[in-house]
Amino acid sequence: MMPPLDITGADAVVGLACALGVAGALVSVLTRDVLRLGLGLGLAFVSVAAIFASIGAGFAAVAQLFLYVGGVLVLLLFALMLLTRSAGGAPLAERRSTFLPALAGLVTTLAIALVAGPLSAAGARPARGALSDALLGPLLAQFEMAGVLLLAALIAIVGIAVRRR
Amino acid sequence: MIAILAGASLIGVGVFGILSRRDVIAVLAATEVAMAGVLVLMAATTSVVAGAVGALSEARLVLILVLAAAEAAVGLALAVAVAARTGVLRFDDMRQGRG
Repeated sequence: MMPPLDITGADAVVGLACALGVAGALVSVLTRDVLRLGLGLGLAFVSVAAIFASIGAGFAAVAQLFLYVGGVLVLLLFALMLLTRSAGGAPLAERRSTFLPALAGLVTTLAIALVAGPLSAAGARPARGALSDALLGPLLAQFEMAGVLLLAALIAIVGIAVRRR
Repeated sequence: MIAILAGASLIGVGVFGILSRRDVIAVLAATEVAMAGVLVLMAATTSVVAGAVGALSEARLVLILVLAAAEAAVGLALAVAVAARTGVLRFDDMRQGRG
């Protein structure tokens, strides 16, 4: 006999955010319209931020909103506007075949879910430490390298964008 | 558990988009979807295994998020630069490696 489902409000929020995220991602990879691609991607990114917030990673949720929704998505939309204008307004995102990529995506999803699911069956241990202590303590080297990497990326983008006469 | 499934699904959808799309920007968008799936999977697995997303795990998550955003920015800049110089938007039409 199956035990009764005990779904809390938090579980419902996580479930809704997950469903919206996957739906947004599907819209962005299946649509041929530029605007729907951007909107689907925006929905997916905001849903990911909601998932982070609902499982207790508040800082990561805000960072996701700033960097992905406010940065990457805006960059993508600008690039889409520039490129579709240069292509004469032609619709974007034609696809090759669908069957093999869909099979590859499905196999990837199942493989990751089958591996990650049993891994999560291990026991729980209490979390400790503040985020700043982590960033400025054990992860200080990675934190500083991330800053250098961002600077290098910025210089690279400027170098790529500047036309050489 | 449902967040783990969502992360795996996002990765799968991203893989589908990378393999099935012809245009550079669409492939980059699918790559970002897959990266978001990786982040969700990391956060959800940590939350389930450790009981909560600890500070160290959250810091790692933010660092990977920053790296993914930098990768997206450089990829988009390359795509715009190549398209502006050659007028080509599809991988199939990109024949020469030097521009």
